[in-house]
Amino acid sequence: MRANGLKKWFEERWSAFLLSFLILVLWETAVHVFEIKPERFPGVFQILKGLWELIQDGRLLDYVVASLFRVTWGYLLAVGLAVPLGIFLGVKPFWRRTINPIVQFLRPISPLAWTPIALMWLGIGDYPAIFLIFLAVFFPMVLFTTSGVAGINPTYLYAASNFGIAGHELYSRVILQAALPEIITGLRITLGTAWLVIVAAEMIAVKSGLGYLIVDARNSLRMDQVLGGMFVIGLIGLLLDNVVRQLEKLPSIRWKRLKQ
Amino acid sequence: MSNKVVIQGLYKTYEKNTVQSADKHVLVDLNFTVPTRSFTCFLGPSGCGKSTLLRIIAGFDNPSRGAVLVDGEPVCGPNPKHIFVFQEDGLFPWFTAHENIELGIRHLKDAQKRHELVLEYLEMVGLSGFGAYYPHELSGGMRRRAEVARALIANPDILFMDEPFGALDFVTRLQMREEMLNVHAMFPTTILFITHDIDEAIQLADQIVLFTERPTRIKEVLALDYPHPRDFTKGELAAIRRHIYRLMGVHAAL
Amino acid sequence: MGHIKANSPSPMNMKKLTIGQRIFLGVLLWIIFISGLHSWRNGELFASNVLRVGFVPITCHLLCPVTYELNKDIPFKPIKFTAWPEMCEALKSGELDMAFILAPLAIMLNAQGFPIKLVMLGHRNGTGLMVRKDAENADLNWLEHKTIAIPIRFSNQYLTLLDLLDEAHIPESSIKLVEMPPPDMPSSLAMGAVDAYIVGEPYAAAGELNGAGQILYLMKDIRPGFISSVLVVREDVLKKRKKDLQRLIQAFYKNGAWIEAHRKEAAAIGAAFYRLPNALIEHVLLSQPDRVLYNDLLPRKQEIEAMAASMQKRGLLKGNFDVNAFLDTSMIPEVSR
Repeated sequence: MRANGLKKWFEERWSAFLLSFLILVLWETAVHVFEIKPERFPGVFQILKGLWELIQDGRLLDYVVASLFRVTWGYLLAVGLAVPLGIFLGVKPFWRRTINPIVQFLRPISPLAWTPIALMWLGIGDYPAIFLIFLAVFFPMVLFTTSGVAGINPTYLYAASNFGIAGHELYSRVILQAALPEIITGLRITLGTAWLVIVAAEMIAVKSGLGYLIVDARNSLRMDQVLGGMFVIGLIGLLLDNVVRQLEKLPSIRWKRLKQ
Repeated sequence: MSNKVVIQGLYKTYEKNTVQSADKHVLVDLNFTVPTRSFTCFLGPSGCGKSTLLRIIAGFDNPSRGAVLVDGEPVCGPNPKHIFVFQEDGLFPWFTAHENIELGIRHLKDAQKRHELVLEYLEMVGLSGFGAYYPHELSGGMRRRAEVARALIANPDILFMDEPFGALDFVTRLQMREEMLNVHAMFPTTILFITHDIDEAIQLADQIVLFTERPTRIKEVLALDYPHPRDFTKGELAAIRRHIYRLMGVHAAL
Repeated sequence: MGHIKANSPSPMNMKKLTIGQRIFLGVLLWIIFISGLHSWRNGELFASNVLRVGFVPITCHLLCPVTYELNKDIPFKPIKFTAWPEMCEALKSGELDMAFILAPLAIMLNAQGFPIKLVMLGHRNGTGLMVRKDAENADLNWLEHKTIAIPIRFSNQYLTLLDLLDEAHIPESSIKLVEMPPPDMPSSLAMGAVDAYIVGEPYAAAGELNGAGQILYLMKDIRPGFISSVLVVREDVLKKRKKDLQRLIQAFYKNGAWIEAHRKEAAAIGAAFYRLPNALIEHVLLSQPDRVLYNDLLPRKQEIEAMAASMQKRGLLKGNFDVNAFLDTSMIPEVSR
């Protein structure tokens, strides 16, 4: 049964792996054929060597952990506040009308524009980075949640009232559940945004993390580590996305997609 | 036999808004009764407000004028003893069939007892073994049956059904009709059933309430005291059938 | 009614967790895991009381890594920066006690009212004006109508460039100036995005070594004694921790002489600490004897005043500047003039 699942997993992905491998081969060949200097544009092996260096002196692990730490806290704090607020706004039209325009206004302001304020209020280090992640996730999540709740099929609410479901039970077993598919879509999208923002935020405000690695490697004239860092960033972003996708596959979430 | 539901002088009007110049009268001066334990069908053209009426009786909506009495008391909201089976989307899609049905008895404290009761009702509607399935994994007919099970497990004294078989294919619909008759025989509920299918009404109902088009009034109330299974191709039933077809404006009764 | 056997749900078990609860638990565990890991790998477990010194990986701040390496008995914490505004912020917010910083930036901070004192220089000379490799017989006049990169306008590199242009009677309006991070300058020159740049070492040498450019002038030749970075200390730290500060500053000062006597070793220390190529730093320290000088690190009043005047002339400094209140060389071992 397990082997079957593994086989299927591979079947779906073999062509992607093959293409990626070919691209790497092409790249390495081009670097040799055109005699490109490693300072300009490193080849695949050069990049791997650079990464190995980073692994050996422990810096890669330190930086990956730092970035993940900041994203974890910023993301979870934002989600933890945004979802209840979004539910509240989804259920109360008056407050939705009042607060929504402010959220809509703040959302398009890139979190990076908040950097000077973050640095001024929170210094350098983990706090300003977490703050920027929080901003990047909070506003879109409020909007996603509100939309999910406001768009609940009224039939569900009628049925719930018919069976006498009210109060806390109504919110946890009906309203939240009905809005969950859209909330999870929001979770997936904002996680991607958070990962984007952390790399940019770390180029400006902190002394560790993958964004900092890029800047530091560039300042040390190590293009190979710049590209190696980019590769690690992409890989982790992909993994994070896949984690949330698993949530979307749950049958208690999948129903909405099938409806559409 | 007493009347379970009494409708007196019921009006439902939607107030005029800026777009329309006049109030929209949906239901006008409805008066009828529903005997306890009867199977009453609301029959009428599409969009004539049958659903609106049913929702008012179920407590989801308020009449603009008139009285809606259930067991002699005015209706003031939805009631867990008066279960509504919806046209679509009645089941909660994030719960399995089992979990949906369990909603009908969720105040029962004993978890084991609840579990067993749900299994019993799953079997009763022919969904044994499908309890762990989600509504989107079930066929239309199976969803209907699950919703009926959910309604019945609550031991309701009124069952509202809003065109429950409308989305099903023809053969399934015929099967479901048969099952509704079984339900009515087994359970002591009063059933209010909306359909636009004349044959269906004749098959199922003890009483048919015929509605006009908007603004909706009652065209006629017919009592059908005939045994089941009914053959409406001959005899009095055939005559009643032709009568209804003519009233509805269809002159060539098939 | 049809019966098709399929999976039945198991009896509701009180201990069995729902998916929602499992996810919640998983998230909680992850938070604890990543926070612990972060604290272990990146955290400062013990709040230390050592002096925090800001620096940028340039040869003008070489005293920092050299002292860190040689004087283990004098603990201090070097904190690396990659951009000047960030360092200013950190100095202002109290995250740094001292910093190696561009002299005009220090003057500006002081004029803004921020209480710092200038105690020492980073080094002398150590800046080059580079032009494109293909510029034939380039001289100052060649710079007319060209694009020149500077690190930041609050730098002696910028002030000196303007002075040079004045001397050659080239109007400032005829050239295009760009502010650019020094590490980007050699590659920009190679690509032709800029025609010239003036910057501190090792980024002048980087352009020389990677074939991107050629030296037009080294400051050692046209402005010997050129000042780029200085060491500043916050006044409140000066009051509270004079003794520690004194030890550290004297160590810095003495190591200037050490660098002069041990250039090759100093280059190795610097390259390793900055994570820059050894060959590059060696070239800066060894190719010419006075390309960078660490032996006269005492700031003179006249030099600082002249720089402030130059800043005022170019509209970079407003208000009054009192060099006496700014300079504090009392902690340097040999105080003369």
